[in-house]
Amino acid sequence: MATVSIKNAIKTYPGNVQALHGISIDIKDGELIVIVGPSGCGKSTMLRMVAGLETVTSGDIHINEEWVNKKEPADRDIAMVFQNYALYPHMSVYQNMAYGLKNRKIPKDQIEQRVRETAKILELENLLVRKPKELSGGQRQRVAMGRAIVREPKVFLFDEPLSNLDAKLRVQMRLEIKRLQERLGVTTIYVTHDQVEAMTLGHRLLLMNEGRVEQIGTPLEVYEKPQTLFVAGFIGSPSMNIIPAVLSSNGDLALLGDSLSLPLTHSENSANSDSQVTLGMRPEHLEACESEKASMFLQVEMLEKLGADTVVYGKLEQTELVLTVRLSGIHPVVSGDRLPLTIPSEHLHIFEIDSGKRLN
Amino acid sequence: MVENRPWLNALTHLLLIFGIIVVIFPIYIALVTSTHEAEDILTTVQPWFGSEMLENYGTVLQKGKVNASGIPVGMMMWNSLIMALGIVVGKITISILSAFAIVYFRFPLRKLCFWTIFLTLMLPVEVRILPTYAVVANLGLLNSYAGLTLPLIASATATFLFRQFFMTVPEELAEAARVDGAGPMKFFFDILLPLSRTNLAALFVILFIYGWNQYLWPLIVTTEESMTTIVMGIQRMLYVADAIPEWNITMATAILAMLPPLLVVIVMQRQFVKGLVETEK
Repeated sequence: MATVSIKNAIKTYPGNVQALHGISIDIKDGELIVIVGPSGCGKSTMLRMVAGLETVTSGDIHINEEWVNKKEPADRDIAMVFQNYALYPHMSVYQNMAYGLKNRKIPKDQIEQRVRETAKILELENLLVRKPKELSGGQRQRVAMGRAIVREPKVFLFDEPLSNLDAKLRVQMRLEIKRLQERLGVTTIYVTHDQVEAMTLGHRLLLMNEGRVEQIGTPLEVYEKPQTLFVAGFIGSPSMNIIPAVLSSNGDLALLGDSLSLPLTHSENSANSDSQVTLGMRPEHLEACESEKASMFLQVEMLEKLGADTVVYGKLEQTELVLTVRLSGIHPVVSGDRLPLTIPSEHLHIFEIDSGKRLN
Repeated sequence: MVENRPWLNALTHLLLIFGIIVVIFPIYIALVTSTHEAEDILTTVQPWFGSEMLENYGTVLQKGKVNASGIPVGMMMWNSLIMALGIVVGKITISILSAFAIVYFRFPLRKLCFWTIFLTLMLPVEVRILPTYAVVANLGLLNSYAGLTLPLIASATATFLFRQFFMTVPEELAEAARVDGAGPMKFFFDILLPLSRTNLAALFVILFIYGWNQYLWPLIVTTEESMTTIVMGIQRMLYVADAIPEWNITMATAILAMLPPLLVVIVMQRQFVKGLVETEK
């Protein structure tokens, strides 16, 4: 059991390429933190720095109050699951799991006991004599996890462990990882680019973009109050409608185009009136309603009927703004329709135009 | 090419058979010649086996060719074997270690080291034979197994081969080993070496034949008869002043000289093909 604290971690690669611009986070004991962001945002680099596979240019990493910047990976008491599993191809499942323990000079009978216990948890008991190439993708994934678990480390590090699996297996393994992490209660850092994985797994998310922290928060915080435009666009599917708007002079209306306006709850609104802003509306928060209650109309252009939802694409009437709307269930709308829409004002997100920072 | 055309099939087979005959024919002649008496083959080539097989091979193995130094073939083969094995073991050990260093360690002038090794590909033994001889002579290694093997041990080809193989080994494997607490040499012995098994086999075969067939270098570096290798030996048997060339004895020696490489190929055939064709990961 352990805490992990990262303070102002900076990574600069040779040639003065800065991959990380000062990342800080305190991870509580037993917490599952998901680092999420688009590819190339530095999330894997961050994880590898905690693992000790990447040197820390500046900043401090503590595991359980112990400064580990200069420690070898093996001495940090961490275990890592790699994206391609990195199982030793010539060793059996048993040997793969036992290798780390053997290097730590743990007595043979104890190794045997621990490997068997872990294999039982992961339902690998019948596969212990097999070689990795005789296993399916999901089984390999479980062996890779077994190799981490058997070490009984202070911290688990997962580097996109599910991205090589097919969609169905991914969902299944996702649940399994969550269950396992809760059962073992080991502090975990999990890297992924998949926002669904991040939302379902993490106790807290660390959203990264271009080597910077965009937001740290629980999945719901991140969804309901994205602190930056980037987070707003990244989390949620289909992604948030982001359109330019102008705040009315008294600050309680957002003006779209020439004639459209949406009422705002301006209590916590910190923007100046009359200023240009960016308005965010999640597709699932836009509601179809009767014409007289509508605050806007959508000229429907395309439909995706998914059964559980109907996703509608179209242009806002009197503007050139393109919107995506997710209506629950099967909606009778057809393309060419004029769809009346409304949105509760608490679901409007307002961002500053230049910095992308949240205003309300 | 999964076409089914009978005449094409026949043609390809014919071509193959022709190729095989071309390759087999000299060996067949050597084998046949080695079973006759010296007089019978002085002027003609015998088409079929004679009756002196046991006697000829007995002579060769026990006494060698009496009027040409008279070293028993067994001894020459022993010398060749030691030289070939020395070269194989030395080359593989050195090249796998240098490839390991070049691929997995970041040290200053790493690129330069690699390219220097690579450059020596362009300098075969024959080109550097005089300076090498001078070095070996000054070290007092003439007429010794060390003198026979050492200068041939450095191998750019094998280093390059291992480097290419190591570069296909996923980087995560080395990282996983680091997390698992394996130091560099432990990683080398526990993971890299077992993974290189098929490559090792392929190189063993190729290098064994290379070592076994060395001709020029042993000729230069050895003068004592007890250090003669078999390939030199065959050559020496051919030119004997004032005597009839005993082709039967020479051919028997040649056939015997073929056996060890053949044996190595047969024993390691499966691994050998795997090592050249497959990248097992």
